[in-house]
Amino acid sequence: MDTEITIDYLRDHYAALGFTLSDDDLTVILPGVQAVYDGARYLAELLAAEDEPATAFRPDFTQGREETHG
Amino acid sequence: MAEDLQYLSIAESAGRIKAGVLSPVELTEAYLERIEQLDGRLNAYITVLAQEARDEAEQVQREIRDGRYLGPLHGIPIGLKDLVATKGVRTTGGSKILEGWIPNEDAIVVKKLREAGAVIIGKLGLHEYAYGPTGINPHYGTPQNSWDSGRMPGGSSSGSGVAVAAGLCAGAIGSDTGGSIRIPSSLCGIVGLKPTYGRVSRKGVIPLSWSLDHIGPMVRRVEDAALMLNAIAGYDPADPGSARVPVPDFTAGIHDSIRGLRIGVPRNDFFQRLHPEVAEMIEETIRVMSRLGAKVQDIDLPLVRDASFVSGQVLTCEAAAYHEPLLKKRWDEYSPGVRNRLLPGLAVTGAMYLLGQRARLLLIARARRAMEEVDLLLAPTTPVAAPLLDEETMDFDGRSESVVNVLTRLNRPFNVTGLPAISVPCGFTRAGLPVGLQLAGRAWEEATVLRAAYAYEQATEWYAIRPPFPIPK
Repeated sequence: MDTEITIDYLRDHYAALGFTLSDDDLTVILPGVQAVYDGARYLAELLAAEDEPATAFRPDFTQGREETHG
Repeated sequence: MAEDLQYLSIAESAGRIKAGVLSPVELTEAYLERIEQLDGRLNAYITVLAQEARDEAEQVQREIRDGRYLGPLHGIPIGLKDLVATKGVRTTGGSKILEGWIPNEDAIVVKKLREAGAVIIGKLGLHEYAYGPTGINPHYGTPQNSWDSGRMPGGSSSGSGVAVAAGLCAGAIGSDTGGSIRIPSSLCGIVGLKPTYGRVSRKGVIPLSWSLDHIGPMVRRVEDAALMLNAIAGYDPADPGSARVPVPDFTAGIHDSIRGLRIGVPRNDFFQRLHPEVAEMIEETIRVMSRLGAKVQDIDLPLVRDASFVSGQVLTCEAAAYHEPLLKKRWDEYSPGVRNRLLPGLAVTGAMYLLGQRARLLLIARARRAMEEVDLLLAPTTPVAAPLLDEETMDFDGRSESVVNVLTRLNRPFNVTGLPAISVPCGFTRAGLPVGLQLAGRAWEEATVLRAAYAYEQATEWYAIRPPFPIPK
């Protein structure tokens, strides 16, 4: 999450996933990727500050079910 | 006469159909005639099902004549956002990739509408794969905002918003992952309801983000939203996000007073960076609610910024996960705009995605605590009226913000928390553009949201103002 996003980093990352992107493409998406990484850093700090209990996350995506709502 | 029929509410049409003074055939023909007249310019529909709708209207008319009246949607022409699968009818998702896809099964929401007797009149335009709030679509053309053709219709349910506003169908189905029902409803001057997460099945609807996607009605009047939700709500084991909870009659109590209802105004969060005219109108809605007897109070509920970051991980990652195989195979068939929004999701790590989901639970808990003090939240749907079609950024307090973020930022909190939220017209700017009021409630309490929205609508009657034709440029 603390990774500084560069064109070279993105080129390698997407190549590993099977995408060959031009430098123009990489330049366009770089701000979007940087925003996602910045957001993750922000959320990590938020969770640390809120002292979230480790048991709070249930990986079954039941946000819509009665017991996790309202 | 035909003009009046197309602007009847669903409730009014249903009353006439039940009384035998209006036939489903007559009503369907009225909408088809208006589509024929206007949709060449408005471009709300990707596919008009003229003959199919006529056949269905004939069939339901026979059913009603034979005494088998099914209820308020029987014989009512409804449009579907074109990511909702329809058996034997192409379903494009607004994409070039799916331009020839003909599903062999109806989505559950379509089955439910058909069971209620609705006439499916066509498939409506949208942002490509629903991934964008502007409604701009390079493959099928952008539906034109009925109030000003140089402005965005809002998305992603752009065709649904335009068709309902222009009287090209009685109601429509939209989907909402970060505001895609409420944004076009606000920008097009109609009513749009995003129900609680899990209330309406998504089975057969092309996904954008599994844990944020919602299906809901887009209509001209609040009571019509309740009627449509009555038809489409309910547990579906085929949708992993569907909830097994009781489904009430959403029209019951909708006409009741809102005296004593506690409405929270998250002024320190949802009221930042608003266009002054929108801010002015929302302040007036607060005065109206108070006059109607609601107890309106400011509350501290920071959601906007955090929900934006949560959505940044979750939506981006889930959308990329769905599209990755297609991106590899059919790169050139995506528009650059959508491709460039999908690619960052492939850079999200598993740990980052889980951060988003964990933080999401904090926001749900935060909203739950706030809503122990109030029954509803009141905020603008969008901070601005419809932006210009070529506008990419807007300035607030000397800071530039992308139009995508401007349109979604007040909507995302209710996708992330799953709470029900409605957009209702609350006035017009001096340039004649509609503005939406957003009301959100506790989980599963759509009935309270609808009751407050109905009271506001009846007190203000903004619904009576129709888009001008020809459309101003």
